Amino acid sequence: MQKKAFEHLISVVFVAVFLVAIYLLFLKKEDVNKPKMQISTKLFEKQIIDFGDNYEKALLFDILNIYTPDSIELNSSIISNIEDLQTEKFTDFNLKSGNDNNGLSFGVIKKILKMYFWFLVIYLIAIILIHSFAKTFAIWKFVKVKQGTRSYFDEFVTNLKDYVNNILPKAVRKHKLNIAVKLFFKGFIKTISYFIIFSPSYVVAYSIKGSSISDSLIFLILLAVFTNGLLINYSYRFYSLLKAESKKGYVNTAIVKGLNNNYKNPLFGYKKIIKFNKKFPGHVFNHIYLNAVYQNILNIKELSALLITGIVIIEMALNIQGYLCYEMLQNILYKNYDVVIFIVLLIFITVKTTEFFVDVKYYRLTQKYENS
Amino acid sequence: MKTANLLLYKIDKQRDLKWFLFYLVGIQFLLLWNELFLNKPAFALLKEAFLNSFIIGALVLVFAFFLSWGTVNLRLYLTNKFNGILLTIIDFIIDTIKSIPQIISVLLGYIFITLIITKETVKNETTIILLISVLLSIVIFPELYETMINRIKYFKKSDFYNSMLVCGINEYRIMNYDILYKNSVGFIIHKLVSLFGVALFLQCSIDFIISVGLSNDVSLSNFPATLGNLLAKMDSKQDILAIGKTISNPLYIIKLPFEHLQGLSTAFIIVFTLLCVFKISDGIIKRIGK
Repeated sequence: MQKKAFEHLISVVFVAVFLVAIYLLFLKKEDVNKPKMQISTKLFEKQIIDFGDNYEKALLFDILNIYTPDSIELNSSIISNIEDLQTEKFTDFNLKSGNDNNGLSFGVIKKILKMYFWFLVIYLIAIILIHSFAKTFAIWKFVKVKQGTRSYFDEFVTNLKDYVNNILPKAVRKHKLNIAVKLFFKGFIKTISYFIIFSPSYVVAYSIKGSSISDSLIFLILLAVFTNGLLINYSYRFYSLLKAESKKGYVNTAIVKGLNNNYKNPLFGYKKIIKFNKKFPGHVFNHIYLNAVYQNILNIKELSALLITGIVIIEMALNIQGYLCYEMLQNILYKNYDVVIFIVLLIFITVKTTEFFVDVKYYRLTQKYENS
Repeated sequence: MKTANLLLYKIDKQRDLKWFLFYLVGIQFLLLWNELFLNKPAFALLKEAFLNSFIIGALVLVFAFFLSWGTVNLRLYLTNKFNGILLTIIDFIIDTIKSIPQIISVLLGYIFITLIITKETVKNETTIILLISVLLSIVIFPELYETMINRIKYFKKSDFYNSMLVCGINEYRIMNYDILYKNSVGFIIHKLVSLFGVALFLQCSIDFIISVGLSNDVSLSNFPATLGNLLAKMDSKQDILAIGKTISNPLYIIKLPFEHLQGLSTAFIIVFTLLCVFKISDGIIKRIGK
């Protein structure tokens, strides 16, 4: 366990060093010609002459040449930098947009940490909800397959065929048509749900943007859970685990020994499946479920990174002020890359912390099962 | 008639093929509808965006495949030639790439592409497409690499691997030909199909995010037209907003496929592709399972 913790820690340190190195090498502002820029900035800020006047600028150049006759090139670049600073005063986006944020200060860190707290709230609620909903959907699908339930489409086609078939009595045909119509609507709702679940969050968000809920925290959580295909992907993973587990030898042995194997059973009613703490006492599925849950813990690691991808997309694309990832995007725009790196590191630490807790949980469960 | 029935039966049984055909029919229908009702410039832009997105998606798969395959072979080479430290470093780097949320990696990569465009080092659209593809493939290749490694590990446990080694067959041949080619193509194709969905999703999302702004010097017009890029345009956003109108005014739904076609078509292509890719990938894994 200590080895795992060490690995996660090293990983965080590695990413931190890598990002800081990239920042220092490529992204740090105004590092080129720093000494020259310092002289230029001092002269510019003192405003000893009118830099808009070409005559006064030429005069300054001559004075500099008199005092330092050996460095005419340096003097020329100082004047050129002053011209750049003057242009920047009127064209710089940060100054024009009123951005007074000039990098990572204590105030900025405090502001970001406050946003990070809300980011964590959204993340934790979403991860619990997805984990719970995915298990519910997977069990529901597994039970339906075991019960031999056919798809809406197949049922619809069968009922429609029966309706078209003239051999059947008129009353039966009418009944079949009613069923077909109901199935059509059920299928339609299912298709719409599929489209929402697979939609990137910004498509859903923009379609209801402007309504009273669209900027709320609950809406963000709902988007994180129900869009970007995350829920269905995670459900299918758990479903695959259930399926793989149900094919194992111990399940067949338990069935042969007389353990309940009937899936058309009140144990699999909607209320029992939806329940947060799912239990199926006396049924073979209880063992399948518990073993699948044990293996599913490792899937939370992948879910964590995917969920954060979803939340980042939502916060950035929705363009709502006051959220961590929107702040990150704004800082990219203002080229405050030190702030960007700080936010990226916070997000990476979140993933790594989740991975660490998953490893701890998995390790403890493994110990528990091996000892029992 | 018999052949047609057999073909239909086969298509019905093979879910991946069924969904692929369904996808082709759906997209064809959409294009036909757009040909009839969408104005010519917007339709041309939609076709260009569709093509570019799919080219990027396809290139990502090619690069991701070669990256994964190369890394698998490099891993074997390092195992045979050096001690375990280099191997640990490779595993560590791949593990770290996996842990960074994909969108963050892509975003950081886009900052670099933006910087390159700003400095006018790259002006050509093809080069930008290639850069985007390489970036996306670096972000997503660890998933394919993991699939390949898991297959190799699975076969290494069986007698087959040791028997072949004893027979004097080269380890590279066993790994590349006997395991990956002969026994894992289905799994690799399944992973590639799902990675196509991931690539499309990331690409569209990042292009949409750029519409909020990555740089003042670089805008959407500097990047090649893609589906996400097209969706981020103001008129497409208005079209998407129109969907919300149907909640308060349900009859407005009739107007949607005629008056808000650009945004709706773009969103439909993205969502429909993601849905079908998921179903095709699911179908492939079911077929392998049989």
